[in-house]
Amino acid sequence: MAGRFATGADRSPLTKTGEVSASPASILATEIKHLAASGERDHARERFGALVALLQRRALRVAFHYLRNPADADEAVQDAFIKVFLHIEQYREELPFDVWFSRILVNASLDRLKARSRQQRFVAPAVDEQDERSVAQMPATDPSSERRLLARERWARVSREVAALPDRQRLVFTLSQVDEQTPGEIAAATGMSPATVRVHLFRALKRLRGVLGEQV
Amino acid sequence: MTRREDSEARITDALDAYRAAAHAEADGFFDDRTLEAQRTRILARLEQAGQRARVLPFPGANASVRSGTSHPRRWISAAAAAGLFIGLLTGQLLHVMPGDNWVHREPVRMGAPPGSLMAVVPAVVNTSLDPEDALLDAIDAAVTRQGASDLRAFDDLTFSEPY
Repeated sequence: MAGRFATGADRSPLTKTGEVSASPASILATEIKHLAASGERDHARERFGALVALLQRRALRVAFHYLRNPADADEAVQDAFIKVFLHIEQYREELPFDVWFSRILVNASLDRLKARSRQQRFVAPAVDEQDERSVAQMPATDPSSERRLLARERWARVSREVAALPDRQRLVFTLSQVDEQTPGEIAAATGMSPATVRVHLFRALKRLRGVLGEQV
Repeated sequence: MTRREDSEARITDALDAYRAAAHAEADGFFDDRTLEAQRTRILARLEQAGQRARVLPFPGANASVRSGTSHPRRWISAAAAAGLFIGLLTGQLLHVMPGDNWVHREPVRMGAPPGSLMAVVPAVVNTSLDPEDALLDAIDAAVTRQGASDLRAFDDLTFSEPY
């Protein structure tokens, strides 16, 4: 499982000397912070567009797989970016921006989850509509239609199992597997201790072991 | 390869496959056009957040709703406030500095008949003195005059010792 905890290429990579070099997002965020602090809000907003473009796809992947709903993921990511810009002056430059952003994104996703659960008290949920859509969206890398269908079915099963995980396990699993964050980064983003993160990840993998074993 | 290593390798492969499929699934929902649209919405929301709220005119009302800070109204308000201030200031100055330099006062005319209370006030008051000093002088003069004997009755009533 060496690759599981590998740091993403666009996050603070380790240099040869072992020091953590600033990621492109951290450099950009620092620039935006200084622009905002000097009163150049319009210029800061322009540069913020570049920061959004840099992190947007990653954020949407995480939010989508945690919330299992494209509209909610879209809203959560928008809210996260708005919060980042409005509080950019609180960003501490000595820390990786990606971790700060992950924390804001997780909180925005949790807010969206709460809002959805409030709505679902009054609205009956659509039966398995999301699962059907997930199967339809399964990537077709195999030319054989039979194998593709089989892969879709397996993917649907894995998705259902992941969706059935308890909230914290699902969050840790998503950040670890979809966003390739380390337990330390997940701990910083969620407020849990690294040990707790490892426990949740272990339990999630234990529950998924059966269904994941069928994939290979 | 032991059985455990084999199992771990299978799980690792499965997780790699899961990651690739998860990315592909999310990217299927959010293509480049969707990302662009979302970016535009985020920047628009930020621009709105930076603007002040506006008062929208009621539809159909041709006389546009004007805020209270248009130029003519502002000048009228400023002129009224300045006039009031100057008036108050002038009034205060006249009250505090009532000397000859400011107002010419006519001397008190003593046209009252002799023997009346008004007659005890001298006809000419030295206006160069302080008003209080002048008043005290007038009282002294009145008391020492012979014509002030009319006041003795009051003195007898108010003082225990004979005046």
